[in-house]
Amino acid sequence: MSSPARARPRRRRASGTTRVRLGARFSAFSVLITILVGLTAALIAYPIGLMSWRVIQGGSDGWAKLFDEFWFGRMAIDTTIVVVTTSVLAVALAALLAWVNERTDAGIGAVGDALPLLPLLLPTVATAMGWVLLAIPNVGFLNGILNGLGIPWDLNIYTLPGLIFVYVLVTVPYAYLPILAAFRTLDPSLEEAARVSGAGPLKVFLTVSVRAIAPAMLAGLVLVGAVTLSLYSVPVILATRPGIEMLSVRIVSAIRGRFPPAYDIAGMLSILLAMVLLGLWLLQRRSLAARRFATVGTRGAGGSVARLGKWKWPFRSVILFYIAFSAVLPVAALVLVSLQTFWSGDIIGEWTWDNYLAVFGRSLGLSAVRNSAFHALVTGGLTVLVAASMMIYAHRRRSLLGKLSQGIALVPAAITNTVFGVAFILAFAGPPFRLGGTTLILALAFFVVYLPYASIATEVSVASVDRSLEEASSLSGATEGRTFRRILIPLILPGIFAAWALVLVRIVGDLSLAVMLATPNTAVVGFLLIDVWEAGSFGVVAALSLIMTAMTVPVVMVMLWLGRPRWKRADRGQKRWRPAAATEDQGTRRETVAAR
Amino acid sequence: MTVKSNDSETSHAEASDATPATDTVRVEVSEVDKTFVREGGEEVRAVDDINLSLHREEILVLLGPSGCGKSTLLRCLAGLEHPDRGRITIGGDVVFDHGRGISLPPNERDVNMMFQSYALWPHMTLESNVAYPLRVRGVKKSVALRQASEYLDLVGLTGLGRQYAGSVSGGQAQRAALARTLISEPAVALFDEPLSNVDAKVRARLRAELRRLHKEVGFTAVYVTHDQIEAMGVASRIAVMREGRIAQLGNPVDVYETPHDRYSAQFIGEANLYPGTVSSRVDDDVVVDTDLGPLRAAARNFDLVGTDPALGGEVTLMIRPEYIRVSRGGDGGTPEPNSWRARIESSLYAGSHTEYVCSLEGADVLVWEMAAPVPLSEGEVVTLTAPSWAVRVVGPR
Repeated sequence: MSSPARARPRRRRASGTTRVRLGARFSAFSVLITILVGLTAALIAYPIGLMSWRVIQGGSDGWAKLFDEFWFGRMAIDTTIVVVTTSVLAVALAALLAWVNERTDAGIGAVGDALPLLPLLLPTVATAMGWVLLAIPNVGFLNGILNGLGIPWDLNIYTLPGLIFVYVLVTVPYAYLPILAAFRTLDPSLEEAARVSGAGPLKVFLTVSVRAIAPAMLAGLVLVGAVTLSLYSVPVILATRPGIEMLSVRIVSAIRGRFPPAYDIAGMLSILLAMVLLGLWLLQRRSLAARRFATVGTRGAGGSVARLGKWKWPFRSVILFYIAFSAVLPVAALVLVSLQTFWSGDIIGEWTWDNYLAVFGRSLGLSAVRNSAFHALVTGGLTVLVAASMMIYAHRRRSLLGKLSQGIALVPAAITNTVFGVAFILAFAGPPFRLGGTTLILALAFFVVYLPYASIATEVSVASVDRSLEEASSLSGATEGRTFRRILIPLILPGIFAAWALVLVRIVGDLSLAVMLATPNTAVVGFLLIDVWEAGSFGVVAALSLIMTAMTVPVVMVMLWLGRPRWKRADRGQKRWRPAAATEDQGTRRETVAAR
Repeated sequence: MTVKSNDSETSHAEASDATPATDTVRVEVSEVDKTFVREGGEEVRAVDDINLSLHREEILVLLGPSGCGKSTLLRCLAGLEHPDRGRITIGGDVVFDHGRGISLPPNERDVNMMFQSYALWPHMTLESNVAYPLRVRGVKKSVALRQASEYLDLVGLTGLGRQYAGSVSGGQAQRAALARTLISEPAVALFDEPLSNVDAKVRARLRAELRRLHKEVGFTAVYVTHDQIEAMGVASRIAVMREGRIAQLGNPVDVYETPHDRYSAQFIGEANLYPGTVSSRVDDDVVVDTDLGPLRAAARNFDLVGTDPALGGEVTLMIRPEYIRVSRGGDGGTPEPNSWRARIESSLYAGSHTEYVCSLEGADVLVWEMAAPVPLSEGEVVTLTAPSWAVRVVGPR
């Protein structure tokens, strides 16, 4: 092998080494994943198991005591009404928004597609608080405007419809996403066939589109139901005053509102909530399996859109109104109120920074902001990294550990933050761990609760990296480490940033874990906000909600920008990073490329 | 950083293949098996006792239908699959030896591969994509980029180096992937159906390009495809694969003109196949009784495939449709040998040739008439003639 005079660098290889196959490779990563899976499993199973055990020990007496509570019946009824109504309305609105954006000429392009997701980037408490300021009787801004116009309506957000209204605003994105996806994969020829048969756009929507996307709507229904059941920030602001009993509020107040805390009641309610959520997921799985993909054609979407004619602006305004109601108006109200000494419902009052000084002038306020930032960046960052590692492993190794790491990361989605809050107090606050009142217990709770969000978001980007991209690197002579650093990580980094943004908003905006697990020493903004809310200071609460928003929005912007690097912007809409199958529209592409 | 393969391995590899100039052997595959277990426990022999050797600047095409094991064999060479048995040597290095427990990962083999999906990294420019194999080997960035742009010129992508891989067309991505595969001058370049994702026109152009590059750069390659035209176009040698085994190995002309069995005959090109019994010898021809009547095949054709034309022997004969002459009318003069009267059942004008299906009493004959400005019409009676040298033997019946 001395002959071929190839003046070229040879592959690096330690001389004489012959690697024995398989096994050895990837092993350090396997060890890491084993540890992560073990720790995560323990963080889920131990607290939930302990809580369940406590409840079982309480026996039927415990349940009887719960059912005898004066509020139990009301709570069951109110919660059911709110959850069912919200789910139906949110899905209907989401379907309408998705249809307008994706299938009619009233859509506002790519920006319009993303607009209904805006509320996901706002802390929900900001929306709820904003609506208090907009529609509280007499002094709400909207009431002021209605009065000024001479309309004798007095909006009252502190009512059942008011509560449901805000719930719908904040939950629409959860239904919008799957429905939009369904519209995109739906074969447009189905709709075209109906239109050719003489049906008008609205009729097509009602008779064809809606039915074709039914599975996605069902998925949205379940998801919105689950979110509505779990949400704490909206009802704690809006439901308490009109005396509407919501399950999530009762769970938290069993611990926070009483002395000594009623752990047994909190535990039983949590189990109840977890069971209902579990039932919802199972229902969704079954119904989705039953009628899956009956509708998805092979032809890609992006076909013709319905021309709405004179109806174009009414439909377009649905999008605009939604954005105004869910984001613009509440934030505007918060800004106005936070800058005034005394809130009287007038838009022009006396301007002041007092409310912000009340936050930042106190050491509690400063440390709360600091702690929230810490959790958002460090806890959130670690959560996303763990999620990404587990998802990479799950997709690269079809072993038992791979399946476990995927499963474990998604399990907590079926449980919810209030449930974990209670379980964590029971399991870790006292001996032997004695983590009560530490930053660690809060960090661990954030980690477990937001791991599934991070996992789902990162999994999408991990799954979209085709195997051959890594194989090509390996065949080019790169080691596993180099392939990981230079190929895999850069490709999934945008997904990691997007996941981080999502988790960050949740952590900063979280109220339920904050009120159950934080103390003045470890305060986060959510903890402080509830504290001030209970003291009844609108101006400071408005300031705090805005501080939350201000903490998230710029960071989210940066992260979404990082999530769209230059190579992605250069890409021509290939959804999947498998460069294959680029059908030859060569001529046009050539020209545009040459023109640059 | 250079690595020397140890000499004992090399000499062993040379010893096992005595025929050609042994120092040019680039790839040596011996007794390689690979079995997959399907879900449900059924075992599938994807690669079954393969022996191959590949010489410098040769392009070996693995040709076969999907599921014949050609891609698995390629991935075994690449190190992406691990055979169950056997030995593979690449560029003088033993990269796999089951008996000695050796299996080098892809990055330690002197290979590179062009994927069906091209597998260009979308987060890198074409330039960086192409320079990557050099960068991995520790070549300085400026040098690597310069060489990359030379290779981009070579494949006709001058000036597109700064484009991101996701923003170019399929054909351009394909060329860039080709440049990336060849830039590090691997001992063997592997091609996994690289032309199957583009339309016929582009495919033909790239095939020509590949041959030009082969002349200019002189690479050695194993090339997997299911398209026989593509195989004919690029191959130095073709290995027709069937169910994990090599059905026939030879240069394109041999594989087409003298297929060794019915499978190879039918997989490459069109073939009229007539089983029959050897009945007599006339001059240099062997007469075989078939459904068409007595067919005369040149005795040489028996020798080519090593079949003994013993009287009473059962054989299968093959005639390629383009070797059959068709002439108008069938007035029934003196019946020449290998000449039949037939009726045209259907005709299909395909531009470069016209395809006729003709029927006799006992059998159908597929005929390609090359120059036929005025195609014969259906129902017409014609005379078909085939020279005895064109009547091939594809083994026993």
